[in-house]
Amino acid sequence: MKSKIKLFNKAIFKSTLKLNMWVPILNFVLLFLMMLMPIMAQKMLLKYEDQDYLGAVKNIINLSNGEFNILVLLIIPVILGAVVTRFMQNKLQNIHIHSMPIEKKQIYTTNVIAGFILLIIPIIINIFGMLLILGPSVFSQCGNEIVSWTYIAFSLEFLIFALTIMVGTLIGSSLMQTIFTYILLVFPVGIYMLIQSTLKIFIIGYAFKESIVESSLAMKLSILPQTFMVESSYLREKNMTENLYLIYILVAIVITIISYFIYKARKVEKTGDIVVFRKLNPILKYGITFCFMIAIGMIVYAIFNESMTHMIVAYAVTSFVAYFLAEMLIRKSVRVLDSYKGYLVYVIVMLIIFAGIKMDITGFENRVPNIGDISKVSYTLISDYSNNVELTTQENKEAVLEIHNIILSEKAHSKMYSRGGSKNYFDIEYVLKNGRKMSRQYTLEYSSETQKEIETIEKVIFASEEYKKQAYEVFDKENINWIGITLYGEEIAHISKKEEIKELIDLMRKDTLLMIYEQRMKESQATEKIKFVNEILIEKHVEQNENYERSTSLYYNDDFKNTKEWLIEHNYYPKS
Amino acid sequence: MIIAKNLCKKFDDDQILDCINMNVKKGSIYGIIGPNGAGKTTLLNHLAGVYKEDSGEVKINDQDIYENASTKQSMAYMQDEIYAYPQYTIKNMANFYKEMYTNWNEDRYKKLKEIFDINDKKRITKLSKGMKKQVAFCFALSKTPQILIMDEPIDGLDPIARKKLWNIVIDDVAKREMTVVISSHNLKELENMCDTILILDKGKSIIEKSIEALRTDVHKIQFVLENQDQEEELLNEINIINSEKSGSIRIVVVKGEWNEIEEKINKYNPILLDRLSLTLEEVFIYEMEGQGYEIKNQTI
Repeated sequence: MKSKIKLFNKAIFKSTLKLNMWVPILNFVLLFLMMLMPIMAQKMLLKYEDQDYLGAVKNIINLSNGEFNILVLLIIPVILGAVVTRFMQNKLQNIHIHSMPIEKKQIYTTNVIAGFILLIIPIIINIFGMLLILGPSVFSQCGNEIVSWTYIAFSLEFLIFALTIMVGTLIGSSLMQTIFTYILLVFPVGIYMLIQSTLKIFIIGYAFKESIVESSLAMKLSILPQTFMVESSYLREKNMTENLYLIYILVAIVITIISYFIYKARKVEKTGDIVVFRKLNPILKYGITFCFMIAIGMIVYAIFNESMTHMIVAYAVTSFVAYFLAEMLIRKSVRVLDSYKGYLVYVIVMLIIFAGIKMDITGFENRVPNIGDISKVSYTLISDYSNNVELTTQENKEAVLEIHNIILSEKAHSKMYSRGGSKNYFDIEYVLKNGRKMSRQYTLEYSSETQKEIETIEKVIFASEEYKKQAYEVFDKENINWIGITLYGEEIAHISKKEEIKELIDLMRKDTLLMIYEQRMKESQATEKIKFVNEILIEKHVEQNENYERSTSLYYNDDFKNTKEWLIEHNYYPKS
Repeated sequence: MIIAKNLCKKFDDDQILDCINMNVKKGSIYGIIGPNGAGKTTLLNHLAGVYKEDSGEVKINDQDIYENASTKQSMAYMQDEIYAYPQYTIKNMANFYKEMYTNWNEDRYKKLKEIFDINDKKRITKLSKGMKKQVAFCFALSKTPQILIMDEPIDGLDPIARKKLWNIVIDDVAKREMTVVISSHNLKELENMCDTILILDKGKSIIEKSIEALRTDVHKIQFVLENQDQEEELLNEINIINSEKSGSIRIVVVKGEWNEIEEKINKYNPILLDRLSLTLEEVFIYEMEGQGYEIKNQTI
């Protein structure tokens, strides 16, 4: 019992609630405007039994078109986190609270608990509001949506609240606390992308696929973009199945506990300083310098037509300015030039790092795996937009290695971004026998001779069965129950007989295997030669369920002799 | 009661308190005096258990005061600038303290309110500086503290309010043996109140002495000797802090027992021997000069 009392102080609790009641009121008003009022409007417009009514209500709760709702999730917990840690940031209040007969433990837990209550009150009232407006029957029909809204809103708000508190314990001003909290909410993915893109500029062949950013850990750690993703039902579902929101709640609890220990170590007199722990000053200073340097450098590089010179000048100027600005921020004074030694150290370290990268001391750029070590390699043919295919045969591995070596001999002409299509873009990923991966990406400008050289090798890959079986969808779809034949986008015939479907697919597979390298581009080249036939698309419909049917276009061109004959024979071939 | 031993505190690279020693006895009034920036408030913040010392120790009744909630229950700290929650009326704040302090005495609060003519429905943030001080004083005394720490309590108060405040403090010290620590930059204000004075300058403690000792220890006298040539001889015999001559009259500030000094001078048959009155301020100035602090009448 005694320990319970020690963690909690009634006087502080009451005053925190009373002083900050405006935050949940504001929160509830916003929720009312964004959720309860639209629901009420729907109720007035549509009848109960109406299916549209339920759908419309569900859409509102689902946060479809819920940008403003998302802003509430991002703003309210930061305000709350800032107001419940206000006692640390206001000099007089800080001395006042710490002079009273109450330990730091009590001060912290009481304020955090009060803040937490202020955070959840509007969420709970909102649920009751929905129950009141919708009535029990519709309310229970929307049960899933309501539970998921509550869960997501609570999880994100709690985590952002906890992060704001943590930043508050490290920083000695409410304004800076707010600014740094928002920086932190985008920081992981921001710095991840900046570093990856910078490495891609400096290291020829460095592979950074922007498509993987979305599922990267850095993205999961970046709460601001994560909050915006809530709008997409697909991403929301995905996060739900990965238990991301549950993890957020657990992380929030851990952060709240860690923050207590930071607060406990924090000295009362440090209020007003940017960073209350002196040891963190260099981290902040060099962190700001580095982030600004690579961010501005990247922008300059893109603006000035991939000019390395401009970028390095930008690096020098920005790091200089950012370093001394950070120093000013920390010292709260403009007299900072005496700290030039720290900047020199930074410059030397950066020179060493970038020289090391540029000189390729690890041999990254020229490294090509031994054929014996490769378990498989994925590779995309030039001018091919389809997915990578994984190649495993000795012949194909050799072919990729050969292309890789040609690329390396041409690497002086490497570019960051491809211009005029992706003709000269290479994406190679080796999976080695020891399980490790080795990825390389290149964008090259090369002569037509080099292109011919590469094409000659690609022919070998194209001719292989494993390539075709992965590159063409006709091989990996089973259980097709319907095939439509379209001409200029319009369906002219369809096949639904099981035997016919099987025969046609078998013939298409045969023709695909027979196709040669030069034919693969035919679809776009042959329009004039064979006027209409090459426009045929064969569609198949699979996975038909009550809500949707998924169709895929299968590749066909008029050189598919066996297929064409069969189509003519069965009267499915369009007549001229 | 309150003891600080070798108390040191740095704010970043600035030494704010440099090896402070102090000893406050129960039921006494202890004054801390020093110019702006001497470290008075920082020292009080240590005594109130707000700041943690870098080195040394601060003990109240033999217990560390930092993070010591039970000892703080019997303490009241009146900050230089009163803090009150925004929007809070005096009554709200009183209710807050009532819940916070187990020794809160509502009757005392009501009486104090009457004495200072306080309307507790007013918002604290809207009060004038002097009114805020009076309100803060009422709050502090309503906690029935054993130890009262006040940072510049009379700064901005009118003479009547000052008088009221001192009367109440002295009454509490006399009746309840309350211990009081007061800081001020004005020595005159404290000279009649305090038992002991600590002078701080640039974070260093210059003197810590009881007023009693100071008064009996330092004397300002003027004399004229029959034989002027013996003056030098006499001056060497007594412990001179300051000496000046105007005409044939020698005025000196001397340290030591009065009887002894009188005896020594009488040996030289003075034509004139007067003891002049010495304000506490002068005593301190002479004492500090004696310790090597040069206090000049600086002009620009």
